[in-house]
Amino acid sequence: MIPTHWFLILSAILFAIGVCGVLTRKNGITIFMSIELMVNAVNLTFLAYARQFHQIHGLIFVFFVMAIAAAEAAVGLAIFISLFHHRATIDVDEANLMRW
Amino acid sequence: MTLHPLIEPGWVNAILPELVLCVGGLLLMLLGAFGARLRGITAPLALIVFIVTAWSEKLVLAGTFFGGTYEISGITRIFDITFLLSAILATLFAREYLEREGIEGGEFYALLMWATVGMMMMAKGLDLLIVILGLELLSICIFVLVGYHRRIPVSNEASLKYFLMGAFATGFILYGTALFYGATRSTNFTEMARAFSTADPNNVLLSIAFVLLMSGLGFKLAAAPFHGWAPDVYQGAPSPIAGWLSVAPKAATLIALVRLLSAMLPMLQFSLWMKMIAALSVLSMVIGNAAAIAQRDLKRMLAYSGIAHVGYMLIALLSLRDDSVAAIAVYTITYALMNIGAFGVVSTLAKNQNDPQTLDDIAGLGFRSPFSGLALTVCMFSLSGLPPTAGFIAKFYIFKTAVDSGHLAIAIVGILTSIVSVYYYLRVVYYLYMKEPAEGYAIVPAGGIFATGALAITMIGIFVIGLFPTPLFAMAGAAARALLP
Repeated sequence: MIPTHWFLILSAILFAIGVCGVLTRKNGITIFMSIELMVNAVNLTFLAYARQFHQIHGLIFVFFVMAIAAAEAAVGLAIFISLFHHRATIDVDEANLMRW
Repeated sequence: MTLHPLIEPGWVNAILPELVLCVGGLLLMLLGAFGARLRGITAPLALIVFIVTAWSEKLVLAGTFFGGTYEISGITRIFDITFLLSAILATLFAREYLEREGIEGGEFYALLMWATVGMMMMAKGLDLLIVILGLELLSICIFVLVGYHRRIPVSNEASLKYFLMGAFATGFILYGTALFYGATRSTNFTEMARAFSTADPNNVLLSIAFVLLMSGLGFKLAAAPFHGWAPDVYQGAPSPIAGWLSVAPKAATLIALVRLLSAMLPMLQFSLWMKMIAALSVLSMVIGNAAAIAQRDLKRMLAYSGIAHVGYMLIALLSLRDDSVAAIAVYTITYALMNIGAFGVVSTLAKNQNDPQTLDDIAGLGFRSPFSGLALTVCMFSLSGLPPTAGFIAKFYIFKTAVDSGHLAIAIVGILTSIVSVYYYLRVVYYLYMKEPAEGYAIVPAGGIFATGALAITMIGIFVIGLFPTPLFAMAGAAARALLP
């Protein structure tokens, strides 16, 4: 059986890749994909621990996290479409109407 | 009615307010879809639903439900009332605002109701799963509400920013929760508290989890240094929503944080975690107040002042005792009245909503519209914490808890920064009464009966709490004693 900490290292790497993607990318959809990667790293962590503890609690949490991510995607894509109507781009650097 | 052996009898009563709000929201959506000619009555209907919900709080039984994951007690009732009060004030201001902007619809109020359900779940959840579900229900409704003015570009942009930031923060909260699950084998607060009482204070995993969770919740609270989104989002959002957004979600996050931290109490005494919260609090007070001075846009100024107010509220978290929880409860109610009132006056300034609403817009407003001017003045006095308003009492008790628990340095920072804040709050009053409007630039507030009623509620509330705070504090104190172990 693969030890739990291997899964944890993998999920930490995935989470870090997601964070880097959010911070460096400019396209709105790519940023959102990076956020999804972070959320999936979280799911992997929950599954690894649930397997180690032989608990069902962590598995149930994963289902809820997946539902949350799906709901977020639905609303997020609608926001992107609405933005695209206005300025024909979803580059977040172009979203600069407000400055202090 | 029993659905399952795990679900206690009486569960309907336990979640009655949530049920009323969910069903009310669905009805308003149906009305918006099939009764286009009935648009005018959606806001009064929404008000009725909110008032029925507040009444149904009386039928709710205290206790723990759903297998120890949902707790109803005195303090959750106080916070429920705060959420409902904020929603009612937002509805009153939104009614005429939406009509004027031509974007009225049932879904606006429905989203407000479901967001309130999310906040109630956050306040009552005894399990991180419930808290996160509530937080997400709230966040997803806010994404839509911020971008509700979808024909104007700033509203869209605010929605995009809040969405990306909010989803990013959710990632951190979830990862923190996953690591806590790994360290304590549970996400239930009661079981986590048991694990924390024997945990090693130098455990690196627990510290990483705490930092991740706090930074995610810091985003939602708009506490510095996680406040970057707040000014842009408040400026772009429809003004009644901006006022509601600056109060209610923060109150919900704070009460969830109180529960979480009281489960972690054994750890907090030995680790640097409390210092982190203190740093968040001091940074918020300093950055919020300093940046607010430089603002000429009213909504951005209120956004920075909101960051500072989160700093004040975080002071009370440093000492998790019954009087500090009571102080948070009273502060959130007071803050709801004065901040939604201030945003409400801004929302009545009829103008192209795409442009910033600056101090010049309210120059001389106190004479053109005495009632709006008076209401804004009262809100500003209360926000700056001058007696005899509620803002003074609320701030006084926050600083008192800090002094009582030995956090004297932070109390002094709080008092000094709130003295600085008097400058930019009273500058608004100066513009209201002592500044002549520019030629051909005299904006008259377009508030109707609903906005006037809401302003009257905020003013009465501010003075009643300011002059007679004892009953509220006694009630909140008794409720808080039941919450903490």
